[in-house]
Amino acid sequence: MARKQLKTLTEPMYYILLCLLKPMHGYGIMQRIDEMTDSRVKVGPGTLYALISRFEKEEIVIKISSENSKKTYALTEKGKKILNDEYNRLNQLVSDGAVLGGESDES
Amino acid sequence: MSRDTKKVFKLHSIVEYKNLESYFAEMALKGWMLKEIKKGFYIFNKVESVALDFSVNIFYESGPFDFPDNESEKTLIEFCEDSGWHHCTGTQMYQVFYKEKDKDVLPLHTEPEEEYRYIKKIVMKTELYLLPMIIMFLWMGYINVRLFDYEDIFSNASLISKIWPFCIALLFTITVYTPFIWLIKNRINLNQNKELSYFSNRHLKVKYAFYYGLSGIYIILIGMMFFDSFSSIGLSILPLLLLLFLPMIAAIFMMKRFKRVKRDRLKNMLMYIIVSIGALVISIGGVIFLFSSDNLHLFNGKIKEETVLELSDFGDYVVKDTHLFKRHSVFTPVYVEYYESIDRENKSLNIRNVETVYIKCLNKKVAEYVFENTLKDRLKYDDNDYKFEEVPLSLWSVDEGYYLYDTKDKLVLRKDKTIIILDGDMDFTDERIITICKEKLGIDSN
Repeated sequence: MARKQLKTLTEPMYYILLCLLKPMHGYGIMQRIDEMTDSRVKVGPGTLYALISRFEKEEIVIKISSENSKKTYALTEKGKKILNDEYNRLNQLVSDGAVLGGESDES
Repeated sequence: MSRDTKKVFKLHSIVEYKNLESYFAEMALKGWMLKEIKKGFYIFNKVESVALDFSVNIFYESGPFDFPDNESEKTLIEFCEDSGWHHCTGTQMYQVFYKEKDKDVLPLHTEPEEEYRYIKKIVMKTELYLLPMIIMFLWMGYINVRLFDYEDIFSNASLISKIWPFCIALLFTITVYTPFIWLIKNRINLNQNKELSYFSNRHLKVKYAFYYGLSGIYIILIGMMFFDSFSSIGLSILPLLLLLFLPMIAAIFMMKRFKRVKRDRLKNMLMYIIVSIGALVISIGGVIFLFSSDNLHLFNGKIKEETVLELSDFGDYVVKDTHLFKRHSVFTPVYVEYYESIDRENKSLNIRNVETVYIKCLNKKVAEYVFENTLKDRLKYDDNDYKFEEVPLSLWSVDEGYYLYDTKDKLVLRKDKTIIILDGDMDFTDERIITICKEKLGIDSN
């Protein structure tokens, strides 16, 4: 059931997983997403906490250390696979969308 | 409580947390900064008036039935503090953060869908259990109504014992309607890509005014029950009454101890439900049984100023046993039952016992209802075709009256709003007896 819910990721989910390709702590994730998306996507601490704890429960991310009392998280193999699947899905969407571009060129 | 500290009791559902944010901000502006939340009490410290924004973060990792999850709590606090929020205080279900009014800080929640999921989960884990309880209390109320007997109107305690399950069900319904409306309304909002919406402060003010008002009425009703009983039975019952509250105290103690050990959530929930329902049923049931029990109102002793018959009214009798039974209610302000008998061995005397039930009703309608049901009650134990013989109304100077048995040794009378039931080893058709009864019971003067 849980896996089914995460078959497609929301934007904040996708960017959190993307950030965690390299181990990172909570605030770092928020800052990185802000930079990466040029402030288009904002992930508040409450939302980040909710998503991280959900990912931890589903073994998508793992807590790897508590450095200076700050917890650092990283993707698990399962998490990498979900991110990869999502990346492929998005690519598929884009390539399917390219047909639309071709049609407009012809006209 | 010192002048520098303020303690406010405030009930709220988990879906009303946005209203708490504005409440805390309002208090800070008045110079009261939230310090702690303990068992429904909000403790504020006196500070300089300060303009702050508060944010309440729902924290479902450990609900009321779980072992406290301090590690998760620390993680949430770490994320929020890193983003510029200050941690204020929290409970097992939510954490309160604040920031200076003009400080530009990312809101705690940026994903309404995630926020909704959190709240839904916590409602399902906490307030949902009230639903089966509402059904249970409604069922109990239905059974009580089915078992209603006309004699229940003779004492406030009996009346209250009939309606209390409905009172509890109504209070629980007021408690749970906001979370369920919130969940339905916001599911629709999210499906339509709208923001989450919250109840207005005005709505909640009305809700809680109604809630506290009803609770006040119930406390008055319970007070009436106590007052009724104490006025007739005295304070000697107090130790027994306190004893009945012991299961509740034991339940609270057990729950506190139970929580100290990490266990499966379902086990905790089951234990909480069994212990709390058990304690409630024993305590409330015991108190109601105690106060509605006829035995509590029974006195051995001589009557003083009651309007009842005594054996001495009919001759020189040495009374051996007496029983006085008194109660009253809003419908029957006076209810006296008095019985006298002589030594049963002494068969030489004609009259060996006499019993009077004297009921002063609120109005004529109530008296007619009691009169009619006394006759119906008599038929319960006899043939339904039994024809009551009417008493000579002019002789008795009453509005209605019937002999309840062919032997004419028991009868029921109604004069305006007074009901009198007489029973004894005597012939109530005898004019001398009728005259004595009328004089003693003040029927002429009524």
